[in-house]
Amino acid sequence: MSLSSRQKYPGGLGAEPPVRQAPEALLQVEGLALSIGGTAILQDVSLSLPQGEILALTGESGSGKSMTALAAIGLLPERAETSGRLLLAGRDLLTLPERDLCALRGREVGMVFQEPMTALNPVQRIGDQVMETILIHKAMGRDAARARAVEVMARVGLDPARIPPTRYPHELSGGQRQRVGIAMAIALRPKLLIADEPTTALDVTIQAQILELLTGLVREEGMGMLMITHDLAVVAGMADRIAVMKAGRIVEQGPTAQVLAEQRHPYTRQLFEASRHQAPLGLITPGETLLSVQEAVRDYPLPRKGLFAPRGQFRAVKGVSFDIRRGERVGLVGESGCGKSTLSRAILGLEPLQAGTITLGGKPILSHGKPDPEIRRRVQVVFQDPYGSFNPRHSVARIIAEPFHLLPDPPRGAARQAAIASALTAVGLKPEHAEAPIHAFSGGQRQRIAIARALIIEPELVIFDEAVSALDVRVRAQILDLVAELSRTRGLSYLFVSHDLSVVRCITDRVLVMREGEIVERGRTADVFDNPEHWYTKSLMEAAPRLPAPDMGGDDDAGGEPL
Amino acid sequence: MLGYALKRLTSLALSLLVASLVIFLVVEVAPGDPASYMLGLNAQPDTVAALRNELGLDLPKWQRYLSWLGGMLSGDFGTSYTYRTPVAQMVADRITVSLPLALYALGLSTLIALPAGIYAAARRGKAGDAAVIGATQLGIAIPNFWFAMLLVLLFALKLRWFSAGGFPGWESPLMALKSLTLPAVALALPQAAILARVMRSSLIDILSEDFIRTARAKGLSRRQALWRHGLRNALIPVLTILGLQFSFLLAGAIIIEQVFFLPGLGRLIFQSITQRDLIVVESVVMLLVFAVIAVNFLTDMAYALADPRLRHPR
Amino acid sequence: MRPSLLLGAALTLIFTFAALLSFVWTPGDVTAVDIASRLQPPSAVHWLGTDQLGRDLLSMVMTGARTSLAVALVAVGLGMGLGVPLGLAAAARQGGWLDELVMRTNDLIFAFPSLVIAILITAIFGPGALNAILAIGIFNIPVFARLTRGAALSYWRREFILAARVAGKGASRISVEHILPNLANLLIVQGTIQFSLGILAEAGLSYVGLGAQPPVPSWGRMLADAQTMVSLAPHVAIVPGLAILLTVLGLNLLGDGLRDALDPRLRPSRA
Repeated sequence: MSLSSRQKYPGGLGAEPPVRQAPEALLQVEGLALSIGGTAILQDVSLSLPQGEILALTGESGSGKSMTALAAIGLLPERAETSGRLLLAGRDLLTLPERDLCALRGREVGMVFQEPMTALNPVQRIGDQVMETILIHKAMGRDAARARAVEVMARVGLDPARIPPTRYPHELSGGQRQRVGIAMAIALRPKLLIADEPTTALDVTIQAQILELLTGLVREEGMGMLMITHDLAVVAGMADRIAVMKAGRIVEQGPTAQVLAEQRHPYTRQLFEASRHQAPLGLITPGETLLSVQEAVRDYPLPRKGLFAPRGQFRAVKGVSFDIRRGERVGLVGESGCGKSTLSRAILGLEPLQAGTITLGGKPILSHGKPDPEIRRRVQVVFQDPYGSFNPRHSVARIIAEPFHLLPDPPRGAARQAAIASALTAVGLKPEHAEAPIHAFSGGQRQRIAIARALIIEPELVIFDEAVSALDVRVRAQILDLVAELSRTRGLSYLFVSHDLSVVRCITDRVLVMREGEIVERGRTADVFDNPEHWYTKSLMEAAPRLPAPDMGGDDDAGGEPL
Repeated sequence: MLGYALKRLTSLALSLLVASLVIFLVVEVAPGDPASYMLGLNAQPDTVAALRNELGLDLPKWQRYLSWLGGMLSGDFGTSYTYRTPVAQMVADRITVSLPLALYALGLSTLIALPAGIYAAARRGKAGDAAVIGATQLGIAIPNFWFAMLLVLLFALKLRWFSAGGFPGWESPLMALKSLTLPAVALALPQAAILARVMRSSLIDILSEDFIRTARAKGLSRRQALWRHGLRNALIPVLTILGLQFSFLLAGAIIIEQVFFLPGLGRLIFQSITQRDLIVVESVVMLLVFAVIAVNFLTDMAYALADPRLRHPR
Repeated sequence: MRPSLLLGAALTLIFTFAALLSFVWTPGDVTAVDIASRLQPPSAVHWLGTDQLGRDLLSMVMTGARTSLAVALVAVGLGMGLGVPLGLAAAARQGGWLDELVMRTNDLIFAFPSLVIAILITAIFGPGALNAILAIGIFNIPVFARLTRGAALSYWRREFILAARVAGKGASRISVEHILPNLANLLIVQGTIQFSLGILAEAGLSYVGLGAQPPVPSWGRMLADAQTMVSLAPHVAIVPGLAILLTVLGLNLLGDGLRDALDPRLRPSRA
C-alpha cells in the first residue's frame, strides 16, 4: 500500500542495523530440500531465527513458505522426502522419531493456522481445547491445567466474563476463534511460535489486533516467531528479519530495514513495487448520472427461533443512497458482513429491495420484481473467485459469449467470433484462446476472461466485486492496470467493491465507506484516505498495515504471466 | 435443545398423520370387498351386507378413517377380518420376534462395522484398509436372504450348531436368542458392510480437516487426534445411516423371517395379504412406518447431542 | 484404468450380454420340465446343473438376468426421470412452496421402506413384475430428488451461476444449461448404485412372492424354489445367489470406479 510518506518504518531500527551473530539460534535451517512424489517443493532453504526475534517468510502462493513452516513443527505430509538439517534448539527435527516430535509439538513449538473458522474442533468447548495442550504433555494436573487455560485465554484477550471457556467455537467470531488458536499454541510457553498467515482470513481491524497480540506475546515471553505471510505491509510492520521465497528457494533475506532499503533481488523488487502499485487512472470528466441508488433497503429473513416464534429480519442494507456518474470510478469499502456484497447484488438486479429504488439511466433495474433485459445489459459484473466464476465444462468462447443472451438479436457466426476475439484482445489475451477449456488458464488469466465476459455487450457500468482479492500481488497489479486502461480508453464507469483499502485507493476516484449496512463516509478517494472524518474510517486507516515509502524509484516491471 | 426437540416432535406427529392418511387411502382403493372374500363366492348378498355392517365397512370413508385413527391412538387396532381376534393382540405376539431380531441385528452390525471402519480409516491405503474395503464390497453385494440360506446350509445342516428355523418362544430366553442368531447375522452383515464404509469415509474426511492438524500441532499423536477429535465428529454422519438402517433392518427382517420360518410381523403380513385381511395389513404397515419415523426422530435427537451447533444455534 | 473398474465393467457387460442373448438363444429350454434329470450337479451337458424340475440352470440364470436387469433399469429410470427434475426445481426456488412440498413428500416416502411400498401395492393390485418396478421406482424418486437438490444448491451458490443470472438467464434455463451437466457424473455414479440396489430389491421381492410371477423367470424366485432343496443339492441355491452377488458386485465396482474416474476433485485442475 503506497499510502503516504508520513508513515515511518516502525520498530525504530536504523537503516543499517547491526548484523547479529547468532550461534545460539533457536531455529536453524540448513540446506533444507523437500520433494513430494519426485516434485521438488523446497530447495536449499537456509534460515536462522534467534531467540526472541520475529522472522517473516514471505512470497507468493505456491512459493513453499507454508511447507517450510510445517517442516519447522515436524508436520510434513507423510510422503515428503527431505534432506538438509532443521535444528530447533540444537535438535534436528528431520531425523527425530515421531514420538519425540509429538513431545516437542505444543511444548517447544506452537503453531497458529490461517483459517480460524475451521481450525477448532466444532464439537468441543474452547476451554477444553486450550487445556488439551497442557494435559497432553502431562505438564500439570487437571485443576492447574484448567486454571492455566483460563489464564492463557485471558492473556490473548478472551475475557472469561464475556467469553467463558465453556463456549463452543461456533459461538465465537473469527477474531475470537483466532485468539483461541493462539491460546492453544502458547499455553505451554513454547520457545518457537509459528504463525501461518494468521490474519489473512480476518478483517483489517481484527488483523491489527491479532498482529499486536502476537508481537506483544513474542516480546514479553521471549519466544521466537516464524511468521508466514504474503502481505509485505504486515511483514514491514512487525518482523525483525525477512526472508523472501520464490519457487521453493529463498532469494533474499536479512534484517527488515535492510531488505526494504536494498531489495537486492529483482523478485523482491517486483513484489514491493506491485504491493504499492498505483494504477494509471488518468483524469476524467464525469458525465450525467448513470446509476442512482435511493434509500435502498434489503432485509433477509432470519430462521425461526422457535416453532411458532415470528420470523426475525436482518437488515443488511439500511437505506443507502448514492449516485455514479458516467465515466466515474467509485470504490465501496467495508469489512465482511457490512452489506457491500448485498448492495452490489441488488444493483445487478439479483436481489429485490424491500424499500428504495435503484435506477440506471433513470429506469429501474427491477420492475415488478423482474429484471428488464433492456436495463440489465447496461450493467455487468466481475466476481472474486477466478475458479468458481466459470462453468468448468464450458469453453472460453461460450463463457465470454454468455451475456449475448441479453441482446434481442445476438450476433451469430462470424460476427459472434469477431466479438469474442475483440473482447479477448481487449483484456490482453489472444483470439485463439477462445476454444480452450477454462481449466487451462491461471488465476490471473481467468480474471481477464471474467472481464472479457463483462465487457462483451459493452455495458455502461461494471461492478468489480472483490475482483482482485484472490490474486497474488504481481498479478493483481496487472489486472488493476488493465481495469484502469479500460476506463481510460472506453470511458467505462465502475463500482469497485473491496475490503482492501490499498486496492480501492489505487483504482478509484471516489470512495464510499460502508459499515453495518450504512454508508458512513464518502468523498474523493485521496481526501477520504488522507483525512478521514468518520471515526470508523479513521480506525480502518489506522489498522491497515502499510509499507514504508520507497527509498528508490524503479520502472514498473512486474513480469508477465506465462501462458 | 428443548425447543429443537419440540419442533422435531411436531413434525413427527404431522408425518405420522399424513402417513396414516396415505395408508388408509391406498388400502381403500384396493379392489375386492373383504366381506365377500370372507364369505366365499356363493354368499347371499344380504349376508354380505350384514357382515359389512358388522365390520363397519358401510360407514362413510372419513368416518372409518377417524375411527381407525382414534382406535390406534388408544391401542385398539381393530379386529382381524379373518381370525376375528383383535389385531393389537396378533401384532403384539409377532412383534416379540421381529423387534428383538431387528435390534439384535442392529447391535451386531454396529459392533462389527464401527471398529472395522475406524481400523480401515486409520490404515488408509494400507493392506488392512484394502482388506476391509474388499470385504465391504462383498457384503454390500450379497442378498441377505441368500446369505441366510448359506448360513443355514453351513451352520444348521452341515455343522448342526444351530437349528435351521423356527422359534421356541421366550420361555427360555437363551434358546430364543440362539434361534435368532443366524437370522440376525444374516441381516447384520450386509448392513455392517454399508456402515463400515460410511464410518471409514466419514473418518477419512474428518482426518483431513484443519482442526485435526491443529490437534497434531498441540502434540497429539496421529492416533490421539483420531480418537479425541476425529471420532466424535465422524460419528455425526454415521448416526444418520444408523437411523436409516433401522428401517432397512425392519424390512429385511420381513424377508429373513421367511427363510427361518420365524413367526414375526413378516409372516403375519404375507398371510394377511393372501387372505385379504386388509385391516391387519393396514395396521402392520402403519406400525412399521411409525417405527421408521420414531427412529428418525431419535436420530435427530442424537445428532443434537453430538453436535453443539444444533443445540445452541447462534 | 484401475483393475476394479475393469472388473466391474466386465461383470456388468457379461450379465447384460447374457440377458440379451437369452432372447435368441439359451443352452436349454427353461419351460421344459424333465423330472428324470432333476437336481443334477454341474456337468458337460448342464454347465451349472439342473433344478428340481430338471430345467437347465444356466438357461434359467440367463433369462432371470433379463427380469432383474429390466426391473432395476426401469425402476431407476423412473426414479431418475421424476427425481432429477423435482430436485432441480426445488433447488431453483430454495425455500419456496415447491421446495417444501418436494422435501416433505421425500421425507414421507423415506418413511416407507421399498418393501413396505411393495406390500401396499401388492395389497391393491396383486403381485407382479410391474409392481416391483413401481415399488422400487417410487423409492428411488426421493433418492434422486434429494441428491439432485443438494448438489444443485451448492452450484446455485457458485459465482458462475450468478454470472449466468447477470446474463439474464432464468432459473429453468440455468438448471438445464449450467447445473444439470455438472451433475451428470454424480447422477451416473448414483444411478449405478441404485441400479445394483434395485437388483437386490427385485430379488428380495421375488423371493417373498411379491415380484415377477411364473412363468417369468427370476433369480429371487429361483432361490425361493431352491430353499427346500438346499440340503439335497446346494448348487440349486448357490447358482442364482452367485448370479445376484456378481451382478451387484460388478455394478458397485463400476460405480466406484466411475466416481474415481469422473470426480474432478481427483483430477489435476489445470491441464
